[in-house]
Amino acid sequence: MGLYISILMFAVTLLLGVPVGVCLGLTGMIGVMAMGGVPLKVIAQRIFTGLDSFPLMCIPFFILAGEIMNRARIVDRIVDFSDVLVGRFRGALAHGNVVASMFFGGITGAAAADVSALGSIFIPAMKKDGYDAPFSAAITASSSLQGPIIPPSILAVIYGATMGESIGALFAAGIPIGILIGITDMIIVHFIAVKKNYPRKIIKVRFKEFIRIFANAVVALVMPLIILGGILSGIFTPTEAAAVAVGYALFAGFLLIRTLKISDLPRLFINAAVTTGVVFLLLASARLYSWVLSTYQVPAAISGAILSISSNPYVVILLINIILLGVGCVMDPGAAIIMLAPALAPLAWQAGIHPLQFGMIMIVNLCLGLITPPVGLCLFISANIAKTSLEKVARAVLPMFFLDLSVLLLVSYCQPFVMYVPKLLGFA
Amino acid sequence: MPARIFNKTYLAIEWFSEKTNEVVGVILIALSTPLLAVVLYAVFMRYVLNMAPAWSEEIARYLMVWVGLLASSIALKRGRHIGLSTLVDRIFSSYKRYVYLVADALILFFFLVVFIQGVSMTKFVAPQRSPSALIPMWIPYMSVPAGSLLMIIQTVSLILEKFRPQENKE
Repeated sequence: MGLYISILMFAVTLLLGVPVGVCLGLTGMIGVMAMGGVPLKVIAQRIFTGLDSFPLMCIPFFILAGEIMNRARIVDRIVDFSDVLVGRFRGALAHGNVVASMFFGGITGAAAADVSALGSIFIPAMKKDGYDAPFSAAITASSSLQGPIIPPSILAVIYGATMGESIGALFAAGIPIGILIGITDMIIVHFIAVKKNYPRKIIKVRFKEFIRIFANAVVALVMPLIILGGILSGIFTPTEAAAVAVGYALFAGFLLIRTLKISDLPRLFINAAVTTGVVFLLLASARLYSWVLSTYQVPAAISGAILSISSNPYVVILLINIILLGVGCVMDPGAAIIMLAPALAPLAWQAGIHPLQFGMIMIVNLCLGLITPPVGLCLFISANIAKTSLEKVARAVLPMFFLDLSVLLLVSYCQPFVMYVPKLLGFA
Repeated sequence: MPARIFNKTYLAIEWFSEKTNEVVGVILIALSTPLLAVVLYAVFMRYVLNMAPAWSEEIARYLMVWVGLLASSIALKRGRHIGLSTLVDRIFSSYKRYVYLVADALILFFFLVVFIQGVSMTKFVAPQRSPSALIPMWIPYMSVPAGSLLMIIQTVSLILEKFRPQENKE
């Protein structure tokens, strides 16, 4: 009974426009109240213990490192390098947008950061070059999905912390998947650019010039190497690697390229803290709600419901994916991982899915919710930058969305593809 | 309520909310700098001197919880907590203001309960100390009521803000 009230409560509060983090918290709270006999201070206790986790500390550090790199205008170097790489192709700016997101994915752990940093550079430039606004916004949004998949990744941290999975291994698995998403985006760009005759942007550079541009970009490109290399060689835990990434970003900003000022720091720290605050409210509430759900034995009910439809592994994985796609449409990916991973993972393991592979299924699947209406955070931000309507961008993003779906299928059904890099790097 | 008194109250609360955010900003810097320093120090100690201090992880975790919960209130004021507000605008276009008001009331209710329960939880753990750094446990737990109190302040200011255009048409 309490459970149904709480689910209804979640739907109603969501439709009233209450922030998702508070919706989850409210619903969890009602669930605790409905238990009867449980002291309400459990609510406060769950909120505290939900956040009091060392692995989760990656999140504020990766956010801060990203803020610093951004402020130090390292993005410009990534953009220059991407332009040189793909300038000769038709639709050069759109290709550049995708490639820049790939590199940017190596310094950011979230898609929203990618959309706002690269969107504000690429979207105006694309519109000026004759690209239509919805397409410009759509390619920015869809390529930004590389941010939370290519390491570092906040979602991988959340999954690792929730399920006790190796964050380093999840990072490693994210590399080929993220790059593949970029490649699928570039395939779409190619066809659209040829059809609409979008311009090349031939940048003829001499070898020496190319080396200079590359060297400039190296500052940004080594960050994922430091993070992954540090975790892999056992020098750092993921949290320590994240702190070292902040240290590196400061070192790069102040000493290597000297675009950072001491006076920038207070604002950077506050902004990073505020972004962390957004994530943490979601995490704390999701942990509270997830505890309530497990007390009501909802995970068992969910797996029972799925198994009652079919116990065929392929069908089970398909059903799990369908549920996740639905949830991803309305819920923050991180919160969804916290609530659903404990319920769905055992089912997937039974179906022969490797724990690491299931982590990637959840991450990639829920990321797709970032480019689908009605919440589609990335669509929303990029439509805003492009000054066009959400509907138009949602329509323009469809081809990319379908190819991303095919990547999801590959992740779901082709274990060797997911496990290759983690195995190669000695994680699994 | 007469418009003038309302306006005065609004301005006072708004001023208070702004000031609070400024102070919280300073506190955030004061907490996140040592947070970063402690973790980097631990890496250094372990990697270079091969002995990591036992207290570092605990202190860092508590600092992080404080940072996250306090910063959440600034995020609330800046409208950074994402919800389905575009959908609300569309479905309830003509009376969306009232819908938002209900939403704000729910937010207020949530944080009031969290505040009250947070205080009681803080009292409850007061006699305990943390396992390795021996910090009294009320210090980390106080982040919950402190954060929710700030959320309450910001929510009240957001509610009043929504009433304002009605009172003095521009």
